[in-house]
Amino acid sequence: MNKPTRRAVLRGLGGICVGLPFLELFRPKQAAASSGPLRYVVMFAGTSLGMSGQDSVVPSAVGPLAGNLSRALQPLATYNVEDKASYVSNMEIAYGSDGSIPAGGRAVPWHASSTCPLLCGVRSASAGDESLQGPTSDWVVSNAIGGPTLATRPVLTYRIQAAFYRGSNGTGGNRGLMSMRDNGGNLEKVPPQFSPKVAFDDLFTGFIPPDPGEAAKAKFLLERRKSVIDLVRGDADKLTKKLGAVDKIRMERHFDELRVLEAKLQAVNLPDSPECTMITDPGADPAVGGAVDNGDTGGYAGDGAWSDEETRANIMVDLIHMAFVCDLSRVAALQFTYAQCFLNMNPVFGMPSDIHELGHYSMGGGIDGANAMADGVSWHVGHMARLMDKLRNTTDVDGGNILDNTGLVMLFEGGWGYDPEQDKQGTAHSSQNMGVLVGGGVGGLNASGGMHIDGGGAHPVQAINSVMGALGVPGQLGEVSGTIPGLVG
Amino acid sequence: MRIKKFGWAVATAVLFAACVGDIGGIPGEGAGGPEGPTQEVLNEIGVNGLRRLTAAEYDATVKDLLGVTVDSEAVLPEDLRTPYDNDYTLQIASEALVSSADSLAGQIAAEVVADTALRDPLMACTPSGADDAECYREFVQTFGRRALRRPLADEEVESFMRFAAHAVTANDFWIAVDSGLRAFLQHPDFLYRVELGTAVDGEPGVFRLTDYELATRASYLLIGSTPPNWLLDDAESGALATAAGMATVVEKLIEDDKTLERVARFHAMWMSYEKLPHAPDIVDGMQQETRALLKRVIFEDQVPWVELLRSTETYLTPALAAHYELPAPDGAGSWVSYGDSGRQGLLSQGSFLSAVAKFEGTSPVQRGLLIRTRLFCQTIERPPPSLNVNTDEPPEGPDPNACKQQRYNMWQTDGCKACHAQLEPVGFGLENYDSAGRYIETERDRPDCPIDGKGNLDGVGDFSGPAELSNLMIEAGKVDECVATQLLRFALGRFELDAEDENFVSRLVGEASGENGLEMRKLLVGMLTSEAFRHRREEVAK
Repeated sequence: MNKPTRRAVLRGLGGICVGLPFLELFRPKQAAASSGPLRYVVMFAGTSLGMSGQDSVVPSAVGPLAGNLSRALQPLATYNVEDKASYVSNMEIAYGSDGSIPAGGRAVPWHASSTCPLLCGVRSASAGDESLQGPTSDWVVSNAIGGPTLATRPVLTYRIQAAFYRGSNGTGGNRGLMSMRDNGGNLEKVPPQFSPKVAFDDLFTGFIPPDPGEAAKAKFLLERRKSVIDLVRGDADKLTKKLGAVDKIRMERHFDELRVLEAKLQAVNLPDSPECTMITDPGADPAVGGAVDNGDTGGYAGDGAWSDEETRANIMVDLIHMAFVCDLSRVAALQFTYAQCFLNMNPVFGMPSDIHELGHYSMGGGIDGANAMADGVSWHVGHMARLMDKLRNTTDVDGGNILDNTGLVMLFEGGWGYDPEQDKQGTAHSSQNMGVLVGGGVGGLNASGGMHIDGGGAHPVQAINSVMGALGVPGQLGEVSGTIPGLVG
Repeated sequence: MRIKKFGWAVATAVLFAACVGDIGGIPGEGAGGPEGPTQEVLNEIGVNGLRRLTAAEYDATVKDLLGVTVDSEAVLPEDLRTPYDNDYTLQIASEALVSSADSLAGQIAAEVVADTALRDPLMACTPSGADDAECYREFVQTFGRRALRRPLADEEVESFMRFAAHAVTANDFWIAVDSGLRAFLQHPDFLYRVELGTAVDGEPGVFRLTDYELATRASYLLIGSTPPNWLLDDAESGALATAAGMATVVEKLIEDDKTLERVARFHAMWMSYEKLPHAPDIVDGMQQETRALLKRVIFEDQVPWVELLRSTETYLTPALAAHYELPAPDGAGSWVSYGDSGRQGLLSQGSFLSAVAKFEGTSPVQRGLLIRTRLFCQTIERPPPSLNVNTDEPPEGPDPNACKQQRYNMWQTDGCKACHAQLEPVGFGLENYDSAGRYIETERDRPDCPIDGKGNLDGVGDFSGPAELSNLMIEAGKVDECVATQLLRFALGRFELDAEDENFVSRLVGEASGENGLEMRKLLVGMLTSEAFRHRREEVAK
């Protein structure tokens, strides 16, 4: 007996308040080479890429990546996706003191000063101000390709690192945030979801299991939740009218988010794809680990500063994959780690140190230190490669695979080289020798197979611009113009 | 003893009321009443905005309302610290917040409804069946008052009655309770502390809080949680309408052990030792040690706050005593004399000494900064951008291999010393105590670098160690005002204080100070019973 398709199941639930999808096959084509829905993932890794003039991240030669992978990029081979990923090296973000920070540049003090120009293409506001100054690429792209998902999940904004982990230094603030949207002319921070359990519950809101008995329960729960949110939203609306001007703005944003939640409960748009299934409930989140002080190797050896980010990353990647498969969202902003990341690498690599300290000789200097640092980078690359592998192995509505309708960008906080703050060469506190990993095959991206491309001092955002172009998104990100030759076509 | 305290609190409240020209009660009801607040009170009314429950407040509130233990910090967006976790100016409504609140509400409701021990106490009636609408109405009214911290209007009750139909559909009364709990736990009046109040005549933007709103303010400040039922009853009966009545309420709240926990948490955030990066038994010992001192000084002995800096003995667990190399306590924990160890008070406790550790140990700069900004409330500017200083690497000084005292030379360096002269000399005086609070004579892994532990508090004098620093700080005479400033920041959920706030602090310090200094318990009572605390000034867009 043939397995019924999800569409058939939904049809069989006559009377259930779920909308059938607008067939993507009938959607106007948005990029030259794609006929399915387009997807975009922007990722951030809070690590630099080398130190002391040593680098185990950049492939040894420019050209095809196959057979030419560095230590940090090995996971691309592990997942057999090196033909759909390119590494652009030798990129740079210019710097300047307050009042003379160049367009797309950063302030001189190092940590988290690169994140603003890196993620939104706009220069830092000033030294000490780590906030994003423009909309980030996830929102720019989502506005262009989000289609029916704009009303519910325009961007899946996830963070894998569960906490900042640095004792009394607070929560990390802007360092734990990579997404900013333009809401009617107002720039709004978009805090990430870092609970896999909540992300799971949210993504599969409205899924109706095929078993009739379970379907009836799920439908009833959905109806109850709609009723609950209807009441809450109505009362939020009434309250908003009673508030003063500033509080009104606060409550209006809450109200807007309630409307989004309500929309998620109103309709389930699922493609006619047997591959769209609810993943296994991840259950309770892994416990959030405690802080570890700088240099406390005992704390790291005891697996502090760790909340099983390995499991969290696997779940988040699975969720993004299924969101794309089921067309629940088309864009994801995935922050693996905080800027200046204090995530313990001992549980992954047996190195009792955090990612930040790997760049400061905690595992030694020279090539040993660079290799340790590259291992930290590879942890991020590995999860990106896993996502690419899953996307490649999933048939899209156009009959191809989803990876070929997707653009992925992995951004790294720093490179290595000159640090104007210390007037010092060869440090990890540098926006020279930065790199960007670009994956996917949308719009001719990586059409020549995975390559190592010398960026020639280009701004990392130029790689984002290239991916945006492949996705058919017009314009540039922030203040940075231009693209990276060789990435597309 | 209880009667004595009560009498003292009422007397204090009357004194405070007298100082704002309000003997014999408060201005009339309604729109500020015929009298309205005096100009002196108006000059002390600060801005207050919509405040979302912090993760800690959410957890405590759910525990008190429903008996359910949750760890919402692992789910809700982070509460940024400034240094307190409740700065409403930084709170952002977001998709992550709303979906997390939805998810938490669903989980909590399911847990309650599935457990008769949790759900039965919520009901004042026994449901006769799935369609017992009147019993459900009673649940909505009684639980709604607790959850939203005010009685529900009739139309609100009717709105919640829509969920009664869920019970009928499912033929299960508790399904309606589940729906109702989900709605209450996501309701804006639950997630946010809403203060609308009543407009004060002739004073645009100034509002007098309702008694329920006042009860909520007091409850979250003192016990970090939702007002208990008795407090809502008092609000309903008008018992909070006078300063004396409010003093009785404050006294009762202070008797609650949760107030000690709240005060301990306030101190931990204030002095940045909220998260202690040590082994669990040491963390537990340090938390017990600090909590015991706070309890003794503030709540038992009711002596000036600076006695926290003067204490000559400390409460130790056996593990912590061994860690400090101090005499072992009796049993599982007891007070132990510091003797001639050079330790004294809070500044020699491991919790305080653990704060602001940096670069694999202590940072004289950060410790100096902590003392200056948190305990003297001084503003120390960030290094100007033109200096291009690197705060993420240990200072190297002329010789990166030199001992710490030589490497931390910014306080003697042109271009740096204007600020750093206020920092390192303070930190150097605590260098004999490592970032886990242990006494050390040489730098970690550097036996060739002996520590002299000599410091200087600019303009006050030289010192060595926490005991002498504490005495100098008290002598400097600036700490009391800073204590009140920090408490008001925490109470208002706002770091930046305005002129009105400073007026308020100034009066509170004067009135809560005895011969030997500011008493925190009096400060709390004075703040909560004051007219200014009953009002808010509407935030203006900047």
